[in-house]
Amino acid sequence: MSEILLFLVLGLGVGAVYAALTLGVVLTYQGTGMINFAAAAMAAVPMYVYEELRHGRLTLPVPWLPSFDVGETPTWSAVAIAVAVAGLLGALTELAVSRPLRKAPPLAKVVAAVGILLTLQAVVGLKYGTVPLLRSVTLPQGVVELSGVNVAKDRLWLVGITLVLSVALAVWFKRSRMGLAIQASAENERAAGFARLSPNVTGLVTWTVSSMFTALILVLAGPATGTLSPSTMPLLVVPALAGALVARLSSLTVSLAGALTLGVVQSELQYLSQTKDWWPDWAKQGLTNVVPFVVIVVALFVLGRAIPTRGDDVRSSLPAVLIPRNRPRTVALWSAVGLAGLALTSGTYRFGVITSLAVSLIALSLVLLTGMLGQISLAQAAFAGVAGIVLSKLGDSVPFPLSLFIAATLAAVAGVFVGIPALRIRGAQLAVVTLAAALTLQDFVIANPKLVSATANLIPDPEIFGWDLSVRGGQSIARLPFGVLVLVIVVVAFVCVGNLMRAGTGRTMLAIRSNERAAAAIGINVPRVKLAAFAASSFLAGLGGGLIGYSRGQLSAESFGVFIGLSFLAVAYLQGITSVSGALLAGISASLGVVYVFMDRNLHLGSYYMLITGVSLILTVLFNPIGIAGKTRSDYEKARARFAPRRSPAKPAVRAVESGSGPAPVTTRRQIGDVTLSTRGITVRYGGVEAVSNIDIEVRAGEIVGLIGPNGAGKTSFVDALTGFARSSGQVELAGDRLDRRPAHDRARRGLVRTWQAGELFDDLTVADNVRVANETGNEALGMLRDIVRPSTPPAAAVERALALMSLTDVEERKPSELPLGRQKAVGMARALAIEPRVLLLDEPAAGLDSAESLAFGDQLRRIAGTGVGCLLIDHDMHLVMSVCDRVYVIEFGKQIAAGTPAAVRNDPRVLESYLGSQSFETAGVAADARAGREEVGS
Amino acid sequence: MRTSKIAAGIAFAALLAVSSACGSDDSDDSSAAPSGRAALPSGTAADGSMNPVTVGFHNLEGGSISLADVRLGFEAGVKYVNEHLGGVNGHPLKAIACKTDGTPEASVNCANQFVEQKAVLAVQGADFGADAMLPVLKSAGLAELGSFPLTPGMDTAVGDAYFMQGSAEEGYAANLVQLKKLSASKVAVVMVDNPTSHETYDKVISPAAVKLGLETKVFYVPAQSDWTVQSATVLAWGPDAISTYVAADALAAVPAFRSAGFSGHITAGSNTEIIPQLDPSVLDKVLFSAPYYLPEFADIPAEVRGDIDAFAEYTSGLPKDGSVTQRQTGFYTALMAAQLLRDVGTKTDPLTAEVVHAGVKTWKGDRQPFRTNGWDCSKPSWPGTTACGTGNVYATPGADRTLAPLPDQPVDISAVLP
Repeated sequence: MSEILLFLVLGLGVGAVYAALTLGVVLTYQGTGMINFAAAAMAAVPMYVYEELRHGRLTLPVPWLPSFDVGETPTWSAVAIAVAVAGLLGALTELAVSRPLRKAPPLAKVVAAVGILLTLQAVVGLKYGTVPLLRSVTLPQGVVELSGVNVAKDRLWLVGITLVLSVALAVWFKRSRMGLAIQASAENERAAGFARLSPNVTGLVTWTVSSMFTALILVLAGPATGTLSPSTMPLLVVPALAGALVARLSSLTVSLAGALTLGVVQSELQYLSQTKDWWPDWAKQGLTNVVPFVVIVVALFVLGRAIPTRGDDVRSSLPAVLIPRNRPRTVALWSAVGLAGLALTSGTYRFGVITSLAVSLIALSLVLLTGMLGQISLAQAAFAGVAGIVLSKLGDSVPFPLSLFIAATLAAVAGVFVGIPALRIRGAQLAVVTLAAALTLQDFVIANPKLVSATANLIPDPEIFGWDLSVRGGQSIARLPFGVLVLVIVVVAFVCVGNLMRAGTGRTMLAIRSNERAAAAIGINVPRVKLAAFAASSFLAGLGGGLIGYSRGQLSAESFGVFIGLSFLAVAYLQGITSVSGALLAGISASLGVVYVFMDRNLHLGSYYMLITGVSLILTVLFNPIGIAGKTRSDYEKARARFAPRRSPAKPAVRAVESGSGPAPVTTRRQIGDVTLSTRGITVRYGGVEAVSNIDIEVRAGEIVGLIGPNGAGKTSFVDALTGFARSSGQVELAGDRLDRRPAHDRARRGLVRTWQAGELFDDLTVADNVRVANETGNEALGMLRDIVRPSTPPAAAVERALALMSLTDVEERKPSELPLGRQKAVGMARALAIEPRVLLLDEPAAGLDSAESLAFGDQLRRIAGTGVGCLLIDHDMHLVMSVCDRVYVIEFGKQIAAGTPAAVRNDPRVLESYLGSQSFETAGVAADARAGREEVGS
Repeated sequence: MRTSKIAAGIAFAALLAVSSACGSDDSDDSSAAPSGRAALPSGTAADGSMNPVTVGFHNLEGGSISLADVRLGFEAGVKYVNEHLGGVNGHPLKAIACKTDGTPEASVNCANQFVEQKAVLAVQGADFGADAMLPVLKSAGLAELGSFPLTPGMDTAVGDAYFMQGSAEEGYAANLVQLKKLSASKVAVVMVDNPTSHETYDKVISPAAVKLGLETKVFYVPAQSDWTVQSATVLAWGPDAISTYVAADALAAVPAFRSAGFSGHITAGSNTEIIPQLDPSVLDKVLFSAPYYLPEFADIPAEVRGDIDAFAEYTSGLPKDGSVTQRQTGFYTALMAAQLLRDVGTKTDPLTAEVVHAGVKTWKGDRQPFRTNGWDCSKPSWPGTTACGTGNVYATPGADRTLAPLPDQPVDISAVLP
């Protein structure tokens, strides 16, 4: 028992080190939206400065600046100087990197952080050397006895100091105007403006404070950080990120608790696994790093949400996707270029071409997963490594190419496992979780001695029908037949992915990338598409890993580590992660690829290679964030547009009524049928607040029903509840089918479809594709296989009808953002209609429309209802509601206060008192007096 | 994976990073100008008109671990060979210097270059990614030569790679033998957590311990550890001796064990660089091993003194703040490579990769530079390894931090040979 206590206390010391980094990471994320993967690398700089000062030298982290002899420096002066250096470094990072990237997508920030990490690692290596240093002891030494256990004094001091500083930081963060502004800016930068603090100021303060905070604790920690080395120190960020994840990258106090707990758990696991005979051998490798992460990922999965809810950030902000056309002539041309590249080179250059082709598959896997679907993955290298292991394990027992297929398939299985957390976690958090997954695969699979031999993991040469396809033979280090084999696989893979991108699968992925909520609302099974994409992308990475394995002749596990995965993502992003040509460029610039070989042979960068790489990464993110392929395509499009005839601006949808002085009478004949949608006792609670309370409604086929109430009455919550976007109790029945336990996408597929107050259109898709994607839901996984073979299918009749009904045929090829608001609303309606709904729930469709547009919308709504679709209309435009609705429900504070015909409702005293007041409405008498039951209405 | 590789390969430091008391990075470069150094006897220069004999030299430089001094030492050695030892039977020795960063990709790139540029031998300074070269070298019939195999693939590539010092396996076994001689009975073995360590413990250390009647238990530690936690874990088992294979982390490990109250013997590999950084009281009963005579050793045998003088002479122009031992390793490797080519070349001319590959298989000699013993590449000194040499000397620092060899060195490992 005393040993458990001892390791608990020691674990707190380790946890204090993690806490220093974790709180810094969380604070930085809150203030700038950047997950600082370079936090530990940044902290290493002041630690080196401190150690140098303790040896009488002031050595600043500037490669060409000499050291200054300063003699004996008092400890606290050295601490102060080191912390000041940390502050300067933090401020410089804000000014040079973080600030210019403030509005950049999360992926760009991840890549920038990787660039900072590589740069600082190189600077430290150049300036302070790569030999590990022993940390100086700063805090009081000795031991104290606690419950019969001797505990090192410096660890107790460290834990105490960390607790005090962390609590102080948390209080500052929670109470001070600056802290509140930082929190506000995490939600909404404009909101931060209310505190009259610009994002520039909060960013500068965030970076400076977090860097100084982390540095102060780590400098004081001394030996608790382990030895100081540029190669291993940056890895301390990994457990720190785990702690940050526990806190959902938001709460400093939870971060502190999470980091300390992580330290304790690691310490106890270390003790138990190393000293207890009952602990299985296979579970010793990498245990202390992996287990806490697995627990955290599982916890996040349980706590996470399948689809984002209101208030969640659902923007992808990724560059526009460049859809390949896959014209046979183009494919043949590029294949010929590849073949020429192989045939006209030899030796190291041909090997470079082969490596470039193989790595381009891994980059292509990122194009599919991250570029198309918006899922940031840092685990692609690990998937490639899994395939490499499988190939080496299969050996000669399974012939090529079956062996390669099996290897890639098992990589896909690994991808599905890693993808599971992606169902409930998104954005930057997903990046961290995939990093954890990569670490787990690295330590528990790729480096597990029970799976991988330390000495021999040979991969047999490929051979088909006795034809030797080996990469090398004798003095030839890169044989043409192997190069052609790789080229064929790469061309097939690129064509398949290109087909996916331009087919329904591509539209579905882009819909999810644009807006997960809206995608689920049109019936897309978001989790299934994500898992299918993880599987397909991991399969591609596995193919790449397998080909790399064949080119090496053995599994080199180091080729597939965590940092390699980071560099794959970085290079893919820089070359253009949203285009297949970007994947090719990424392959060309990969390690051992063509560019690498050229630079190695012709530019002798020596010790500065790593520094140049890191700085280049940062500069490219700053100045060309859409990637080289994206920039090239963008320039090309601009040049083409200059010579192409100008398109006319989008025509307004309301032209038919613009000239009229009043509403045009609608001649649509509607027939109101049986009850289609009925709800019983719908109740929605947010914590202790009951937003919707026991609401019952009915909507009949062909009927237009209004739902009105003041702001905050619970109207949108009610629609969220009906459509599966808010947890609720009560019954939802659609044509006799219980829907209330079904997921959102399933409710939509069964005919209960909604539109959104904010439009929530898919900005990455054209108007036509916005509508079309809603009609292509179902069988996503099988659809993916179909799209690979037959990508071009004509749009369904329902899509054409919806576009025509909403008068959108003239703007089919435009992006929604190019249209005026009224037509954007029409796109949302058309998208919903393409699903062929039974009941349409319209959430403030007239918000933002002028009166002419509103009248035109009323006409369209009558036409929709005339097709037999039941409509529930939520809107504050009382002219619209009272003129088109057959019946109206009124709610206030989540409770129904009235129901009836528009005439009855507008005369209801409770409605007048709570909502309508003394307003009067011209209803044009178009829908008044409709009665339930089979009845024709209209005029 | 890079992390475990770094952690694993950091064993290199055990053999390379020796300095200071044994020549630290900041020392006055005592090897470069030892007092009382004799002038070098006149030698023979290579014939510049003859075709050079080309070798490929790969070494870590420019990455997160950079050992540029190994290359500098190698280049000094090549210069010494060409200016003083007559080159390779009159032919100048020429090296294709290829810098690696520890990744397999960089090492494969070097191997490709060596094959493409018709090198007759691949020579390793220190390279963690070297295992990835093996298929390339093997396919082209190019042999690998080095001082010590840092990676498991190179350690076991029998017939394709040759290393002139004792094998890693011998080092592990000798460690136990030495501790047994010092009356240890319960030895904690502390290793970096990676596949190589697991395999080494299972295949080498554990069987050797059984043969010696020692009780051992292995403790795997992750990179970037808090050694207070690790030492508490180890001491909870109650060992009477501790073997550490944690490379430069020994700097933190040794004081941590002492702070936790352990007073028995601790072996710290070749990490003599930690000696000047630790208090003599901490260093009491800490054992170090050395592969060859270092410039700082007292009582250097006469035949070795000549090597030390040549090394000092040819590295005297290098920057003062480099690692002497890294340079010595590079210098030693150059001399051995030249010796191999000279020996094989006297039998067959011209030298080709195939000729060298065939010749090294039976290559043997009486005395290596900086050592008094010879080598025999026809039979691995430890079965299943690529080691041509043998012998480890154990020493412990005195009160003045000077290393004093233990009795009966080098350690006799015959009792634990498999």
